[in-house]
Amino acid sequence: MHGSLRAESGLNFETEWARAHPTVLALLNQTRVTPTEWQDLFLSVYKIHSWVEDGEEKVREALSEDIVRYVAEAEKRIRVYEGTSSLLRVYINEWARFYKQANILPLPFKVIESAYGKTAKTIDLVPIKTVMLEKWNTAIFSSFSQQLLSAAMGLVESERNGGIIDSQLVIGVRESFVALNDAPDDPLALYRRTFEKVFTEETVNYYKNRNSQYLEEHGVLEYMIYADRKLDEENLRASKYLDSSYPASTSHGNDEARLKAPNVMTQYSIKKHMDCCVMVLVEEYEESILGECSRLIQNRDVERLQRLYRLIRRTRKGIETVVKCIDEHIRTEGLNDMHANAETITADPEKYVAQLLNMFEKFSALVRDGFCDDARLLTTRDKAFREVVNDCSIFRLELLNKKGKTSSVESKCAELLANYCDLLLRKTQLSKKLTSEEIDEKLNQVLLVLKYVQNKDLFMRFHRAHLSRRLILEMSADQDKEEMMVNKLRECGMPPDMVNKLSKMLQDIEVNKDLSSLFKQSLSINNNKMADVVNIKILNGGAWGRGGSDKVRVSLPRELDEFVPEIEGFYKKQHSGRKLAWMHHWSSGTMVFGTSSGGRFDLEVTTFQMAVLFCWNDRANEKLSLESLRIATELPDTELFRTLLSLVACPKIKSQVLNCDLPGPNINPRDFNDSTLFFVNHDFNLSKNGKAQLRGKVNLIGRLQLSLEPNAEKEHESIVALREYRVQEAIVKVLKTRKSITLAQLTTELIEILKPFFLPNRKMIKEQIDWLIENKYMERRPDDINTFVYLS
Amino acid sequence: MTESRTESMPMDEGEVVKTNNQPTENRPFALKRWNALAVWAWDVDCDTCAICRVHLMEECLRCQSESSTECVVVWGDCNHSFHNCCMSQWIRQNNRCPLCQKNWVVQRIGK
Repeated sequence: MHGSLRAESGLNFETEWARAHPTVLALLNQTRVTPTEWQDLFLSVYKIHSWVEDGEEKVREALSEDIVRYVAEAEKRIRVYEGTSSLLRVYINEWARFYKQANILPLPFKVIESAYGKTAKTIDLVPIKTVMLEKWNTAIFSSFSQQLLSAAMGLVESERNGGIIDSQLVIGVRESFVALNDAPDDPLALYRRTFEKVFTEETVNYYKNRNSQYLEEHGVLEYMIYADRKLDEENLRASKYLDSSYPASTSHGNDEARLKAPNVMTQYSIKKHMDCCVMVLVEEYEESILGECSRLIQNRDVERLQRLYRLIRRTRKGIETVVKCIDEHIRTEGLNDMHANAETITADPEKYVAQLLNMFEKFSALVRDGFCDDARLLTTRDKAFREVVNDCSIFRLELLNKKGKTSSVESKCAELLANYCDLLLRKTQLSKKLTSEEIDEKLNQVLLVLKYVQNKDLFMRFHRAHLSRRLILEMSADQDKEEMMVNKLRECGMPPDMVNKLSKMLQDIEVNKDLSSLFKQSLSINNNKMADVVNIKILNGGAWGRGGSDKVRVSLPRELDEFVPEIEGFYKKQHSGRKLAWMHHWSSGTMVFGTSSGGRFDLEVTTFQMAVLFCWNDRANEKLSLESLRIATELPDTELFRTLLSLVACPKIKSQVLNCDLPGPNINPRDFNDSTLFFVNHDFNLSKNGKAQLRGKVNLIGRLQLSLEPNAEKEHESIVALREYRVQEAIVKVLKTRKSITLAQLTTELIEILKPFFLPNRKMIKEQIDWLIENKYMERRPDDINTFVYLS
Repeated sequence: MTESRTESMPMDEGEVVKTNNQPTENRPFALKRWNALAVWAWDVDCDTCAICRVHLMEECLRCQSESSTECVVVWGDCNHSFHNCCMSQWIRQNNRCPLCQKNWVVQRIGK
């Protein structure tokens, strides 16, 4: 039915093709075709396809003939130049025209490419474009390809030698190799086998001899410049002349094939070429290049280092040597700097921190400017800098445990950092000199160094003691900064329970402000002058440490003691169920000291100092023995001696408030005995610019004892004890989850858990394991003594 | 010493306060300001809450995670004390003191 209809249509292939043929020829020969002719061609092909029996085959045949004829003519045109230097240009010219047509000519014939209604023959339908390229390949390219390739390579070489070439010629040859392929499932196979391979081989051969010659003649430093430049050039050349497409067999929807052969498929042609270039330009001479690394770092030759890094980072293993060089440089230079300035920095926390920051900045700049902040080198910097920060050859802090044995030897860095923070946050000359932004910046720098400090628990301990002192003595330069600092400590990962204690102290001080003003109000109603004199701070024992047990006893002078019942009475009205513990060793005040010449001096003193000084009221000219002062104040000897010393030998002033009968000028509290006599210096004065003043103010408080333990030894003991608890706690925690674990694994996990506090050493871990075994929390496995089992 | 000093100064309260403000020849030291300092703690026999096992001076476990405003202590007639929050949860299930099993009667709540 269908066929008969076609037969009856009266449409005849020959007449219809005769109408279309001139247009086809014009297209092939690239002569002018009008839009009407172009449209008519579509119509003709369609008509033949629809109405002529076997029209498709007839069209295909006729078209193929035309193509073959055209290609044969082109071949003749090219053949003329065989063996001459113009062959390449002529070929490219012809090829460019033909390749362009291969994209245009098939368009009107689309309809015969699709297999509408002819399922049986679908398989044989080859796209017209493929037909065109095949014809070109068999007739021309296959016989000329070797000549073309070597001509192209000749051009590339002359470009390498500095000549200027028409790069289109090389690109055209590459296009031929890419487009004319004989393996439809991997169209780039031919290109890879021929063009790419030869291109790379030529490159390697080109450089092989030249490089070692260059190195010998010009030295390594010059060679690096040369290699760097050549690599850049080759990169440019590769991206120009090599195929940059993602070399998957089909551009869409063939991920599976890509996955099956990832090595072939994912390797860009350009990358492969560059790898070869790196081999021949860098890896061959890697040792000589890396030999320069140390010296360049030493000399901070950033420009050369950058170049070295650009070369080395492309190699497979070179960076490892760079890592070693950087590591060694930071360690030795860091420690040398510290040793060189040991005297100034041990005495002054500000200088110490400044030096550390300076070093850090220096090393960071080296990695940044010389090595583009390569992640591997940043890690190296961190590791080496940590060594420098925690080095204990200058600031040795020996921690003893209760038995008096050394528990660990550490750097005092944590303490010095905390002291520096205190200088910034307290009202000091330093903090007054700096702007708010400068202080913020410096605090941030402290946190930066703190990140590298291993014994963070010590920093927190000292920081907390400083904060207590600042808050109690109201010496904070800026309350907002205190809160900011606490938040920053939290952000930078300090142990949350320690940070929470700090923020509780700040909160409590706020709560106390309300209480204090309430107290003043209640007093002024009673019209009591006490309101002018007394400030109260009643702090939360949970936040400020339970000082209750080891608070220092003192018998308050009558002048102060009379306020106590009033304060306690007031507090009882405000709160219930609370008991108060007086912390006189934390309290302070101001006294007016009248001298015989009519001088009036404000003395800022601790309550202990007050207790001692008030002993002379009503017996102003008497000499009081140490024994009688002890009976009057009831202070323990350590505190009494310290307090007396601060009054007879305050280093800040020349003329002292009290004198004693010991020969001066260097008074040593060890010379105090029960009968040592103390008396008021009625000629006390403060001199300013050499002139004695009658009015003035002096702070005798000094470093008011606020730490939790009365002396350094006790302090260290309690640090060690707390660490031992933490290690025990961590061991039990690990064992509870793991049930059974080897020593090595346990040690790793402990270090991970305890890192935010301190770095547990092997000895401490071993001791705590032994303790836990002794107390039946865990046991060694009978068959393997290095494995531990949890006992519930 | 303390005794003798008190004897030698037979002045009444008012006078002390007055003379305190300025030093005299016989009393070279006068008090201008005193920053008194005390620490408060709950008046309890056992300082750990038997229900949540947290120190009574610290917030109970629940309040620590919810950061509530106030976490106070409650005393029973039996004189045992707990976090008020912990105890109010406890008596929903069992109206006895968790330590001595006596009927729980609130004696006072801390403030």
